[in-house]
Amino acid sequence: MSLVKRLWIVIGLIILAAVFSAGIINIHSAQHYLENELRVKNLDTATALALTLSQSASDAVTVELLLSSQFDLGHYQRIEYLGPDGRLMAHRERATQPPAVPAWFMQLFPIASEPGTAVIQSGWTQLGSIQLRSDPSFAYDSLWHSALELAELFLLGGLLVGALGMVYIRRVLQPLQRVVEQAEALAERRYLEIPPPRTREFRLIIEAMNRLAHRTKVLLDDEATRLYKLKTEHEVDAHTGFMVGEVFRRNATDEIERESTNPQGLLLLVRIVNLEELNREIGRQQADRLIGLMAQQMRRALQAHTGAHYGRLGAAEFGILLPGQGDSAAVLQQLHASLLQVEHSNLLQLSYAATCYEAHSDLFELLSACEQSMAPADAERLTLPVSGGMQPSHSAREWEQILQVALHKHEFQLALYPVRGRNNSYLHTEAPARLHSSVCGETLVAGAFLPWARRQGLVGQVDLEILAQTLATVERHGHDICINLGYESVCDEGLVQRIIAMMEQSKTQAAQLWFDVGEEIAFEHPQAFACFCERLRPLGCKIGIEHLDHHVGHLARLHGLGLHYIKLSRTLVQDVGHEETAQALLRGLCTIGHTMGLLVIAEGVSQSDDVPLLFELGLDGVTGSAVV
Amino acid sequence: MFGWYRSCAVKWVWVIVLSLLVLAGMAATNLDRLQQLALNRYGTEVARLVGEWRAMLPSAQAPNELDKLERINNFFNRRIRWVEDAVLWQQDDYWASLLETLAKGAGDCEDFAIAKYVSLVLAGVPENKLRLTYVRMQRRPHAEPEAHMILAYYAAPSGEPLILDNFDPDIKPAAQRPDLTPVYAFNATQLWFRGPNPSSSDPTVRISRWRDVLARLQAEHTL
Repeated sequence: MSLVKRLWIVIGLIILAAVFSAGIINIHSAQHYLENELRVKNLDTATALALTLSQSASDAVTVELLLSSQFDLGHYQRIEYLGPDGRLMAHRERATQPPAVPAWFMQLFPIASEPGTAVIQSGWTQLGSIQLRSDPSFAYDSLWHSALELAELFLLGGLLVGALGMVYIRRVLQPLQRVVEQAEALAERRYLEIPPPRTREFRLIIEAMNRLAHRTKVLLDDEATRLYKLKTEHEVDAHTGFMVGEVFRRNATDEIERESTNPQGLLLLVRIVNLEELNREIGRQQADRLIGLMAQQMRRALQAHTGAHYGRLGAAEFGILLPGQGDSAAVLQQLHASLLQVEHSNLLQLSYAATCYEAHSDLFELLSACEQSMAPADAERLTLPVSGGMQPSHSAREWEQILQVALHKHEFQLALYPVRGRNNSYLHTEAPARLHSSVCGETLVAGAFLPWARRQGLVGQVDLEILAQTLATVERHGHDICINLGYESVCDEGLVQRIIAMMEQSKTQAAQLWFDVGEEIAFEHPQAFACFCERLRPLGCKIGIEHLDHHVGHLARLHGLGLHYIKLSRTLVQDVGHEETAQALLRGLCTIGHTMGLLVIAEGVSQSDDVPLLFELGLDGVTGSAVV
Repeated sequence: MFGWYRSCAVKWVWVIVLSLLVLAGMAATNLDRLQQLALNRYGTEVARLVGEWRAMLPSAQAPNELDKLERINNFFNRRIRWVEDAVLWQQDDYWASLLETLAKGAGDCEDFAIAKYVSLVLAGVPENKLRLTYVRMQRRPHAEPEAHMILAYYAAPSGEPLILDNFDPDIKPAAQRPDLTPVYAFNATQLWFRGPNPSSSDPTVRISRWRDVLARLQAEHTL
């Protein structure tokens, strides 16, 4: 039985007891009062009657006559006339109508009608005495009705007090709901902190749980930060904050090959031609400082381009990968102009190169192509390197047609890749979307058509179309299927509502959906993402982070969202076979993930030999070309 | 439920009865306490008078009621002065208790009648032989009639009473008092004042002069 109900019963009993005893006391005092009144009335009437008799009656007949008239006109139960020797001379008695009052009530609250007595005499001669008793049924009636009125009043009062009590209990126990929620969240390893309420006991509990949650979060944060350091120590150049050459090449390859991001873009090279002279002239330390400033400026110049990768390929050479960019001339112009603003930039001699890449381009071929087109630049002008400018595969008009037709004819399809757990068990199926366009006859990956869909404001429709496909596939195959959600699906309120509406229509399938959300969305729009998780969790679907890489250090921030899994980017996974650091990193990430109640899944596993090792390190699932 | 209630009620009734018995014991006739009260309240002079009154009071066991009547009638007629209420109590009409009358050494006709009545009851005369009687008194022919109260003693219920009056010091049968016309008679038997209820706490007591004086007599341990 719930606490509220128990308290309710107690309050009810207390009110009942209070009302009952108050009622009894009240009726008792009324009963006493009525008895007194009856007694006085009997006495006074007897005296008055005796006085009259003493004045006018000279014989028993007159006495009886007067007695009769008093009895017939008054409200008496019995009048007796006793002779001087106490003998009953005459009496009048009324067979009293029983009052309209329950017998138990009369038994419980009897009203004694004590007779009034008075002596009568004629002259000096005693005639005896009269005894007179009033009918108590009026008193009973009055007592009964006042008891009923009292009961009504008390009932109303009791209801009122009960209602007030209920409101008060509700208010007092409101924090209890939050305590329960917090405890349940803790059981699900979501570490929520909530404001402590005013009620002392609840406050103590919530404060204790808050401390626990806070300590766990700090612990997780520290561990994640430590791992992030471990990860970045070897990957990042100390002076520029850019990735070291090897790491840049790995990330760039991953970016170019990744299906879900834009398969086209730019590779830029920037070289300081006179670094050796610079070292000699201003000293190595100053030169390093200048390079640091340059790196900052480059980032600032390109900050509008999301998803850019920066690398220091050699002492004097920098590489920048800009996915989704086509106009190399504009970007280089912008970069150069911005580098000229660096203090002492006049000391620098820079040369630039740029080349476009497409899906399946080879990074090393791209880099050597760039090397060859390296062109020097001076303060006044930038001689643009000649390089194969990107030819967009389709014009904007064509894309619009492709997408409209695809939406209309349901040309989106899902490619299915399994995600395996321990012992080759089945976890779910990853399903990146493909577009088999009847317009151009090509099969397009998400990374290719999504940027155009975004530009034309069709992302919402595309995502909904893919979701509908997925739900249909789940229904057909009965497998858990995982799809990717983009920025709009997570952050656009209207779209989220439509997604929820669609999932509510097929609830059983909805519970078999897994939603991958990119780490940029989750960490750069934390409020929108939290709101999204909050709203989708009741539907039973699972939500996780995919391509987790740069933000591993912030993993602990996801604690309260009720996520189900994280997918680690292939860059974290691919060297696990031969790098101790990568192994330590994965082991640590698994510990954090499990503490937060998350499944940890490795993406892009390309060596089947790595699979047993990954499970040994604590991962819960693997996917990639080596997993079938 | 009502069984429980009733057993509780029975318990309470016992408690009340016991405490009433204690109260009744406190208020019962106790002439030593009356004398002590007189001493405390009015001083030695009054206490002495109460002592004299007690010495005069015939024993309840004595058989001769006429003798009792004589002694008590004489005692009050001699020792108490007749003074109007308006002078004595600054009230229109005040019925004084025995102790109050003795303390003042004065009283009007009701006070005489009450004092004699109480004394006779204490001396063992049954109450149903006594009547406090309102009478119409005409002392001389053609004079204004006066309202008066006397104590009547009925040796037998259907006989002629003896009159104890403060104006006429002798006890005479009613036939020898043509100046008195009875109007109404009463005594304490009809007032159930010796019930278990403590009369002074009963609000209705104060309404009637007779019950008021009875309550005071009880409180002063006289009845």
